[in-house]
Formats: sequence, structure tokens, C-alpha cells
Amino acid sequence: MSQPGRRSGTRGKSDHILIKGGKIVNDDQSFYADVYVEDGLIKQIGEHLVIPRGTRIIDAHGQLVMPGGIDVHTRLQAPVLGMSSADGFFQGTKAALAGGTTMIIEHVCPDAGSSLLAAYEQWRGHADGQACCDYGLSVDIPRWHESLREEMEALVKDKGVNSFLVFMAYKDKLQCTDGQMYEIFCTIRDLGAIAQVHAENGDIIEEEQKRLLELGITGPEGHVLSRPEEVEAEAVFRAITIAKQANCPLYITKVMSRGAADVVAQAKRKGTVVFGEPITASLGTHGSHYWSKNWAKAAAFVTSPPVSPDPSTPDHLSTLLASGDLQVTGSAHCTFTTAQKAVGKDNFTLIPEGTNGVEERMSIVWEKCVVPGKMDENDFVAVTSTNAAKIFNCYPRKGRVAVGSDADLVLWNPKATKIISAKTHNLNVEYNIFEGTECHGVPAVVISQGRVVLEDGNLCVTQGSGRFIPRKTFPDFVYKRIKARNRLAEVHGVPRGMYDGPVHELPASVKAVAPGAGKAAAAPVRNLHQSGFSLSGSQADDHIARRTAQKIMAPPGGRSNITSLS
Amino acid sequence: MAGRQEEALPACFAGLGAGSPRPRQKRGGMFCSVEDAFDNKTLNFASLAASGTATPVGGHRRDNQPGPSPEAGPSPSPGPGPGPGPGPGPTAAALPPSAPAALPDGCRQSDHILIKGGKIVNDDQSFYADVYVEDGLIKQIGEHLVIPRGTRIIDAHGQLVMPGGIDVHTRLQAPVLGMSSADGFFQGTKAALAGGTTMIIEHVCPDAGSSLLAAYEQWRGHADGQACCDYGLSVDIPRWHESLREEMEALVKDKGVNSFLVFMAYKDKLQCTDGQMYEIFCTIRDLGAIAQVHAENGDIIEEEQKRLLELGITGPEGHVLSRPEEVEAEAVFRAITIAKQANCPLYITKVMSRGAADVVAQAKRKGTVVFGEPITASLGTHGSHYWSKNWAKAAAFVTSPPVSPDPSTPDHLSTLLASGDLQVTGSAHCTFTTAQKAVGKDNFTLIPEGTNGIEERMSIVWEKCVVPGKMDENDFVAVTSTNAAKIFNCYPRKGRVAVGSDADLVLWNPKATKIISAKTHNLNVEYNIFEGTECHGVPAVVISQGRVVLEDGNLCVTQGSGRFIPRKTFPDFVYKRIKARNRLAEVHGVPRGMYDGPVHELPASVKAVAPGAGKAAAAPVRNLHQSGFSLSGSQADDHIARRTAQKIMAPPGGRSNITSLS
Repeated sequence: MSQPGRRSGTRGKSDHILIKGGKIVNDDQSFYADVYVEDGLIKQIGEHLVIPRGTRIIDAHGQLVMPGGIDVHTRLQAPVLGMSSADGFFQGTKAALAGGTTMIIEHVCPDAGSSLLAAYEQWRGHADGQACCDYGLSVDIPRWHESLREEMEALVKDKGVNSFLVFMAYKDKLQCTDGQMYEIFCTIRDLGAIAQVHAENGDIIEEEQKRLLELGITGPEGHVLSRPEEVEAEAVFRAITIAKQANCPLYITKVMSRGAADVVAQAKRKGTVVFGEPITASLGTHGSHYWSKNWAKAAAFVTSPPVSPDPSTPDHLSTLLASGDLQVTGSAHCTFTTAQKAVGKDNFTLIPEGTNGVEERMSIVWEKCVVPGKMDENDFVAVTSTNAAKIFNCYPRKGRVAVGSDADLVLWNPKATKIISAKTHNLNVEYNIFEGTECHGVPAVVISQGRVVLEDGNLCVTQGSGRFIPRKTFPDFVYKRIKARNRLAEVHGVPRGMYDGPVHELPASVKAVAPGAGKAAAAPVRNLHQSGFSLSGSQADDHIARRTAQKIMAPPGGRSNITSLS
Repeated sequence: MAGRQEEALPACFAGLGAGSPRPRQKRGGMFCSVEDAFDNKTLNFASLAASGTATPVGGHRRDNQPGPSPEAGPSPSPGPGPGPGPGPGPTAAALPPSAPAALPDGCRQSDHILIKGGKIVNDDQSFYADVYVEDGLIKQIGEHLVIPRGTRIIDAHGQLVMPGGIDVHTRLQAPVLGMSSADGFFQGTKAALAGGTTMIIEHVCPDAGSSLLAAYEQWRGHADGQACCDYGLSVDIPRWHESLREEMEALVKDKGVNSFLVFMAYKDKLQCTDGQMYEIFCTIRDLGAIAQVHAENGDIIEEEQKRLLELGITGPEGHVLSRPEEVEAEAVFRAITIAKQANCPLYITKVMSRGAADVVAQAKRKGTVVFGEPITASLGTHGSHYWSKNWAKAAAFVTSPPVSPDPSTPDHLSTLLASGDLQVTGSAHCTFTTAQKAVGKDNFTLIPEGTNGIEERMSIVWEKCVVPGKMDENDFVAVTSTNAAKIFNCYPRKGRVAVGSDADLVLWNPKATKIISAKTHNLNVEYNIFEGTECHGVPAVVISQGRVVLEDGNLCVTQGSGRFIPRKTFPDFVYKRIKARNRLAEVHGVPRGMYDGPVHELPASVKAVAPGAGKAAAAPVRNLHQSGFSLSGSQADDHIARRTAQKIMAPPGGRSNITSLS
């Protein structure tokens, strides 16, 4: 279907494009105007534009001119058990463009214990050579140790990364403890980045996996049975609690179940700065396929957290997405061929995890949210593009049809229909988990970096044309509130008079074993019976000469005496 | 309360009109012996007196009798009561002024007690009847009871006869940093009885790594020698290792323990990981016991403690700042999730904050078997005192999870308690003197944790729930006694006023008031965290094991009289649902044809490092390109002779083929 030849060269590489007669849709309003694109940027918006000769004119009557989609979560290069996923950057970004997505944020997944920077460079190398659309990178933190702090700082300051993901699952491999998460979140907050979590309780999952394997359940249904919804909701709850303590903005990747989405919604209502990302799979299908008699089909659905077996989940998630409780949509696109999945044919815990969705995302969201009237077209733009650009701080360069923005545009045809099928998709895998879904709304023309890449169903992409989009720290959309709270969150001790009552004598043995809370440097207990009363440190009145045995009648902070009750 | 003598009506008039204190029950329940069966058949003066004379006496006036009001005694009220039978014991006993004199030997040696004229309150209904107690048991309930001579008669007109309170959570012997808490079993149970609580469930807290059984015996030794009221034991599991499983089994099967507590807080000391909790919960479920959790996220707390100490905050306010409410709610949520996975009933000790209570309520609505225990402190006070300028007062509030600084918390918790979302009340009584608390005067993390509440629990619950009309008296009995007895499986021996039940009774005076103060409480500590709270409802008479231990404000307890109450496993109230779910929760694999497609070749290095999920014995990956197709193991058609190279057209489980898409 795509013909990267001369023909596309003349059409696609035209630097001057006028989109005429379309309805421009941003997240805040829609209006009719023409858009003039030059040098990969939107130069003019309005009617009766003055345009140079030779400008290519695209007729957009009856179509919606929207900012290109931003897929906030892809794993096109995910390494699992030494395999890499079936769609690399080239195939993956090509599929993205075919679906109307013009920017992806790829997750860099370093091996546990290896350098974040090295992994980042590796991903940059892959992507710069292959990606057909712009991309950003988000870095996973597989195992925390103090030295990563410097690497994170380098990534944020020099490398244009402003989000990091921690895992609460994959015990003994990627999982972080709560204490580590707190430390990571504090680091992230100080750097002005965004904390992302893969939220599942790895401890419970491991126990359940053991139990199921003991029961002799080895097929893909074991995957979903070992990862019940509550386990996801629990981890989301915990992540939110920790992030709230650390006053760090939190972004939940892959909201797959009702429970998890409800927890996010509740936390938002309580004022927590938290964002939830349902993905194409959780919005577009459900997990009853795990029980399919066809092993390969069942295995195609294996992802973590699993697609919920509750068939009402897509409806619930799309409702929350429409109401603003969830904000962005990703795809978590990470595909493996059936042969790759079959590595786990005798043990579901070995099935490489990941589903497709990068190509289907926009159409699925349109189908589930706009077609039934839950959203209008502006909300659609918000959840597929604008919110993502705001959260990840590339707004208004991306995510908006405005003068000066990148010319990443989609001409959306709300009247056309398409049936998703593995026979027609732009992926390297045999199964499409949305097989047979009919979508009433498809991208008619896609413009990436000012070039037409999809038109009349023909894709013409250029390998390696994708640019890395560096993202700045402290996105306003996220950090304005955090900053204000930081100012308010200062705590102060109570100025008290020194406690002058009796102190219980601890047995020497207990003193020796260092009581107290963990590693906090506990101040040694002062025994006033032995040492007498003294004000330690410098005092406000040090400059005044003082008698050595002066009796302090009114100590600073007021008098306190335990002998007077109440 | 004193001085409500206005209704000095003649006896015969008092019974007329609305104010009749003894409405006849159409059905006295199962307890009522055949109505009027003994009328005209037995010449029993006491019962004649009950029906004839006692009825008309104004109930309101009688309220005052057991109270500390001295002038109520000699007033006309005692006259009509025992009139017809002047000779025997009842006369003397019913006279309040004479009762104190008789207390040291009289009250406790009298094995026969008749509680007359009270309103019996159980968790399901209230009715007017007399209660006859003998040998520490309730022998008869009804009207016109036939009682032996020498029975002591306690007048309960205008009072509520309720099952004695059960305090589900005490730590009277908690060892902290080598100190033991200020109130031992003796002082603690004495305070319990003074407050209307006749049974406690004490937590055995073994040192990390030591034997549970040894700790259990140690606690038994302490309690048997000192406790004044019946007690049960619940065992904490400080650090999990496999060998504890056997000890838990021994405790459950031979020692009468049916609940175990795990800690989600106290990192590096008592804290369990999620995986350990899952294992413990599975063990507990198999044993038919109850899993209790101390729910706080220890990891976050430790980080916050570090941060606060670095900021130079060392006072008690650091305690509450380092343990925010969300940290409690998070742990409750997690515990519920794990327990639900393990299909184990869960009991959250010390529900201290709105968030935690809401999580419990939500989980209950989703059908989880979970119970929440707000404590006296969370129902009766709030945590703004942590910022008190008086260090000792602030330190007195230090407990974990902390008392919530949000002043609306007690109200919210009592609402949930009234609605049934929370079920039981404890006290988590664990007191330390100010000198003991002062161990942490320079570092809040060293302040020994625990507040008082054992004595105040019943009155605080009454004050917060019944007085404002959130609960009726039956609900009150449910949350202070009956639910606890059901959950911990000592029902109906405890927690109910019924024939055959233990004679642990409280005569509750809903008209009397009391102001809680450290000056008058029965504890060894200088501060009472409820200081100044006025309670409109106090226990007037408390009967424990059939003996009057509190009367007219006088406590007479016997050290060591408390019995250990062994509790059986699989309490119906808890496990009926669990059992049904166990049957439903079976999972089945999908019978599939063998996957016969290509399998990606893993690099050898990856295979070597044993991929897969943790320690589960991962089946080695079979490479079909090398090994060819074969059905492993015995097959359903093994008895049929088969060609070696037979082509299976329709394999068992149906045909599966990856080459046909969709």
C-alpha cells in the first residue's frame, strides 16, 4: 500500500500546503478556516489566505482538521527475554501515521542494573534511523539505586526527557519497593519531571502465578487469573498515596480496569495531581478472549495489566475519559508475533506481554466516545492529543492547530467507516486484538512535519524522518499546582518549653541495640537526672551576659510543666 | 443526675398512663417461661412483690438508686420493693446504702442475683424482664421468676440490662523498648470493669524472631495471675517465617486463639511484605482464624520520619505529620486486596481516619468479608492535641495510626459505625506514663505508642452514637459487645443476655452523666486523652462472672479471677461466606489443542538465566522444531492401539491452528 517512490516524492514533499474548507478542531473550540502550511509549520489560519504559487491545495470540505494524535505510550523496541518486539520503530511509526497519530512517546526500557543514559542513546539510535514520525522518549527505571539520580538529572537537563516510569510489578526483576518509589518520586519532583507507574501489585501476582501453575493452569487464561483487577486498583491507590506524600505529579500508565479508573477518579476529586491513561486495548476490547480455544488468539491479548474480562469495562473507561477523570489515551503498543508469544505456550508467565493499538487508537476512541455521544470532537482532540502535549510539555508545538505549531495534522472523516482486521493493518503480527471492530471515523489525510503521509489510503513515509522532540521540565499543566502546594506544605515544629519531667530509664540492653525508627539518626536520649537542665545550641539571648545558675522562669516557647494536669 | 426525685407519686398511680416502666411483653421471646405460669401456684414473696408492688413505682425515680447519689437510698424508693419479704437477703441487698458495706464479702459471694425491673437490651431487641443469675451464668429470664432464698436482688428500674462490653483490642502488657505498659493486666482489667467492659481480647506481642507459643504462655501467665475479667488472646506475627505456620496451627488447635495480627508498618522491625501477608492470610484461612492487620504503609512512614527529623521536628507533632491519613487508607486498601485474593476474612484494627473507614465501607459494599474496628480514641477525640504546647499532653496522644487531626473524624466514624460499615469497637488501650513517653522527648519516633480507652470505651460510644440518635440501644450493644463475640466466636456465651450465657452484665444508666478525667480514672497514667469529655450514660452496676464488681461507683475486683476464654475456629459469622466462596472460587484451565505453530527461538543466554516469573517451577520450553509433535503423558485413548505416525485431524479439545486468522 505504501510506495516510497518518486510519486510520493512530488506529492508528499510539497512544502506548501493549503487545507481548504475544513473545520478546524482544537480542544477548546471548532471553527471553519483554511490552514496554510509551510516548512513543516502552520503559517496561517483564516479565510482568503494569501498563498504563494505552486501551493498544493487539499480539499477538506466535510472533514475535521485536527492536531495529529499523540500516542503517549509505545514500546516499539521493548526487549523481552532477548527478543525485540515485532514492530520496530519503522513499522510502528508507519502504523501510527496510518491511524492518524503523528507523535509517539516511546518507553526506553534499560536492562536492570544497566545505565539509563546508555539505554537512552541506544533508543535514540534506533529511532533516529527508523522512525517516520516525531517521537519523544520516556525512561523506565528498572531497579533503583542512588547512582541513578545523577543519570536522571542528566537525562532531564541535557537529553529532553521529562518522564520516568517505575514498576510496581515484576517482582525480583523490575519491581520497586514503596520506599524506593518515595525516593524516586522525590527525585522526579525536584527535577520537575513526571512520575509514571506501571501499577500492579507484584507480590500478589507472584503468589497467584505460583498457585495457578500448581493447579496446572498454563494457558493465557492464567495470565488474567493471576492478575485480578483488585491487584491493579490496589497498586494505583498505593502509587497515588506515595506520590501525594512526595508531592509529585503522578501518571498512571495503562488504566485497564474499572477499579483502577475509579481510584484515579476519586483521587482527582480529592485534589491529587494524577493522570490516568487508558489504552486502546482497554477502551476497545475486553478480556474474555483469554479463554479462547485458539491459543494464539488468547496469547495475543496477553499484556499487563491484563485486558479486563469484564465486558463493561470499555464503556466505563470511555465514560471516565469523557468526563475528564482520565485524561489521555495511549496504546502501549508492544507486539510480538505468535511464534514469539509461543515461547510461553507451556507457561503463561513466559508469554511476552503486549498488544497492538498504535494504529487503531484514534479510531477506537472516536468509535467508543464520540460516536455514542459521550464526547464532542473537541474532547476527542483533548484526549488524543492536546492533553498529552500539555502533560508532556510539548504544547502548543504539538497538540494544537495554531499558527506556529508543527504541521502535524489529521483530516478526520467522520463519515467514513473502516473495519479493523489483521489482513489490512500495517503491523507485522498475525493477530489484531480489535479484529472485526467497525469504526465510524477514520483519518482521510495525515500530514506529518508538513508533508502528506496518508492520502486516499496510500501511506508514503520516509524512514528516519522522525525527529526527537525534547521536552522541557516543569510542565505548567502539571507543576503549577505542585509548586503552589510545595509552598504550602512546609511543616513547622511546635515551639515548646523543654520537657523537664522525669524520664523513664531504659534498660541498657535496649539502648545498645539502637531503638527508634530505622535508619533515621536518632538523637541520643538525654537523661536530665544526670545532666541537669541546659539549653543546647546557640540561643537568641546569647549576647546577654548570664549568670550560670539562672533560674528560667519563663523559658522561650512558654512554660510547660507536666505536673499541672489538663 | 442526682436529685431527680420529683415523681414521688403513690405507687398505685405511677403505673398509670404512659410512664409505665414495665410494659408487658406479648412475647417475652424464647426466654420467657410460660406467661404467668407461676401466678397463684407458688407463694413467692419476691415475685409477688415484683408484680404487685414494684410495678407501680416510678421508674424514673429508681434510676437514681444505683448512682452515687447518697440521698436516693433512704428515700421512699427502697421501701415498696422488698416489702413483703423483709427477712431474707434481698432486702438488705436492695438497699443501696447497705450494699457498700456488704461489698467486700457480700456482693462477691452472693452467687444468686436477681436483676429486677430492667430493660434487657440485646442487639436484636429490647424487652422488659428480670434476669436471674447463678453460678456465673444466666439461669432464667422472664417475669415472676422462681428464685431461691438468699438471692440478692438488684433493682434495675429505668436501667438497661446489657451484655457486658467486649474490648476487642487491648495491649495491657505491650513491651516497648524493654518497658512494659503502665497499666498491667490488673489495673487494665479493673479499669475495663469500671467502664462496663467484662471481657478483653489482649494482643500477645512476641519479640521478632521468638516463638509465638512461648509468648502466648508468657501472656497467659501474666493474665491468669492478674486479670479481673475474662480475657481472650490474639497473637501478633512480628516477622514471618515458614516455621511459624506450625506454631499458628498449635495455637489455633490447642490454645484457643483464633486471630492473628500482621503489621504493615514498623519497617525493619515488625513489617510484613505483601507476599508474606498473602502467605499468612492463606495459612489463616486454612486454619479458620481471623486475619487482623495493623494497616499503615511503613515504607512511606519511614521516609517521612527521616524527612521530618531532618527538618528538626522532634516533638509529638512529628508523629502525626509522618503518618498522614492517606498512608493508613492505602494500607487498608492493600490489605483488603490481598485478603480478597487469599479469600481470607480480614479485620482492620484501629480505624483512625476517614479515609481508612471509607475504604472499609467501600470494600464491604463490594462484598469483601472485612471488619473495621474504630477505637475509643478515634471516636472520642481528635489529633489537634499533637500540637499542644504541653509536651506531655501531646505525647499522651501518640499512637499508631495517629488520632486524626481532622476534628470531623469522630463524627464520620461514628456514622459509619452506626450504619454497620464498621462493626466493632476496641480501645487499643496501651498506656505509658509521662516518664515513659519522655524517652522520646528529643525524637518523636522513640515515644512509646499507645493511648488509654479501655475504661472510657462504652461511655464514649454511647455519647457519640446513641446520645445524638445515630444508634439505638440495640445497635450500641451490637458494636460494643455482640458483634465482637460473633466475630471472635464466643457468641452466645458472651455478647448476649440469654439463658445459658455467661453472667457478664452491665446495668446501664442512660440518665447519669460522668465527666472523664485523669483525676478520677482507674489508670496509672497522668493524662487521659478524653479529659473533660462529658458522657451521658454510664454503667451503674457491672456484673462479671455472676459477681457484682461495680456498684454505686465502688469497684470490688479480685485479682486473678479472670478466666481465659478459648475461642474456636471458623466463626460462622465470618466464615460462612468464606466457605461458600471457596467452593465457587475454583479456577479451571481452558482445554485447548496443543499449540502446533512455530516457536520463536530464544537466545541461549536468556534460556540459561531461567526466564519466567520468580520461583515458580517453569516448565522447560519444548522446541517443536527439534522434537516434533507428540502428546505427552497418558491420553484418554491410550488403550486404543495407534499407528505411530497417525495424523491427528481433530485433536482433543478442538482444532487449533494459527494459520487460520480470526
